[in-house]
Amino acid sequence: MCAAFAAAQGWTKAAILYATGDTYSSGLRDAFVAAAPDYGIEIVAEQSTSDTMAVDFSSQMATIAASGAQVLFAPYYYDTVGPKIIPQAREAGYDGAIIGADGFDGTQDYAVGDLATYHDVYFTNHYSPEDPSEKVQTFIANYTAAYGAESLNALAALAYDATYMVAQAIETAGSTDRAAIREAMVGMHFVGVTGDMTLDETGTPAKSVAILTFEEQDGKLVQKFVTSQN
Amino acid sequence: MTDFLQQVIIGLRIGSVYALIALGYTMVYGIIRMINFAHGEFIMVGGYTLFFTIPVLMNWGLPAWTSVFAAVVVCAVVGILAELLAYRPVRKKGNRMTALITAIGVSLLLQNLAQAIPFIGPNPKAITQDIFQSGTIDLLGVTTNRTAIFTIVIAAFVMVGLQLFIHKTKLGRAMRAVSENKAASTLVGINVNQTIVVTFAIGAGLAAVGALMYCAQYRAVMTTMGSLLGLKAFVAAVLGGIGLIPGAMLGGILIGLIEALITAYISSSLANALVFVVLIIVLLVKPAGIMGKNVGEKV
Repeated sequence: MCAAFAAAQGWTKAAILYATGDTYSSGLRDAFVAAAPDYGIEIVAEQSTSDTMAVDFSSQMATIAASGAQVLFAPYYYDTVGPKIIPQAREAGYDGAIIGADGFDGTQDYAVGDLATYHDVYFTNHYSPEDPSEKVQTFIANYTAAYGAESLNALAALAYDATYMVAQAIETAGSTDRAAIREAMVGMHFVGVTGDMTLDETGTPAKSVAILTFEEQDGKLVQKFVTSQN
Repeated sequence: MTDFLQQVIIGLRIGSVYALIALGYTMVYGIIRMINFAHGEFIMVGGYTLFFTIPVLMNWGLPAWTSVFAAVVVCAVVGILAELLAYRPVRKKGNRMTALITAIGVSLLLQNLAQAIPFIGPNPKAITQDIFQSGTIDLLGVTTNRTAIFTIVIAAFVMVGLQLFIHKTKLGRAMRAVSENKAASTLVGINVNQTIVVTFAIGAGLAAVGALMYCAQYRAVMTTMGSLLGLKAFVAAVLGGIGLIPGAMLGGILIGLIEALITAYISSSLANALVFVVLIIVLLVKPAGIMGKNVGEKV
């Protein structure tokens, strides 16, 4: 997903920074490395830390900045991305884009110093409340009316979709028999708040993601919806 | 070459923080022969003090870094309390092993206590304010951030100050005397217990300065922030020769440089592991640490 987005932006030279000891981070790194050739992306630098709780990335960033990368893929979590990865990348003189996955969600609450350093940061998430599609906007209006805006996050949307996915499978199967519902889910196409998805034979959905970025607004960093990516 | 210089500056910056914290380990070890494993938690206490005092001080129109004075005071108090409430009673009754276990206990207590306090909690907190003037400067053709320069200069300044204090003042002389021989120090009229308390206060105060540098660079505090930092600083103290003040300084700077250069030129994810390999090799060759022979300098 990140590789597809990078290619769509016209970036061809990518650097990777990931945590070798963390399955989330190294799994995303593997997926990015595997997808990169298909999108014509060359990996010009690959740096790592042993875990996601690392605090000092300056040596890695110096190498990445010197590699001439146009985009840095850094699958870490928000509490590392906000105060450490982005400021340290900019301090090392790296001025390109920084992209990541759903672990970036929440970075806005951990932004430090000059918010202008948070430019060109993009990440993939399950959905964005700012997605203008009718499906998303109807969900947000109904959810907020029933439960308020506070608990409205990607998990709420995922739970909503999961329920309707089962409902659709029951309709297709025409029965509430467990085995029949399971069979109905294979190859099922589902259009939900968190995107369009098709389930494979194991029930794993191949779905679209929302690409988000950060923008400064009234002295605070806020998430902005960029596009959705298949 | 510029790349190399840049990595050296990064190494010096990391190393200065290690050195400051290693001083706390080495001073306490020098004087009561105990590894104060709670020292890493003193950094955490300092970090949270900074987190809470920076907004207040900035409201008063003071620069953010002045909150280090509050952190030094709070850390010194915590250090003194740890000595008076935990280490001293145990030292009177137990042996060196019980003292060591007590230190681990104090470490766990402080860490979990912080997590249990609702307004601290287990989630990391970001320090949004710039502690030092932000931005980068060019030095010998190398781009570096101002925080790195401030860190290296302040650490050098503090270390020179500490050396002068140890060698030129009466209290410093008392500390050296107690570290060499407690019984003889008592004979010549030195208040041993008071000297130990002062040592704890100074060690914890240095941890607070280290916390300032940590927060200036890494911009966030969390309850476990002192664990790995404390461990690395402890390694630095052992590498240089535990109990020796110049050893802690040398060890800290060396560990920082080794870490930065390994990250840059060998493997970034193996940096932590290789630092400890270096320690093992040095200890095999020189069990007392790099400056180990210099016994007369003990504090």
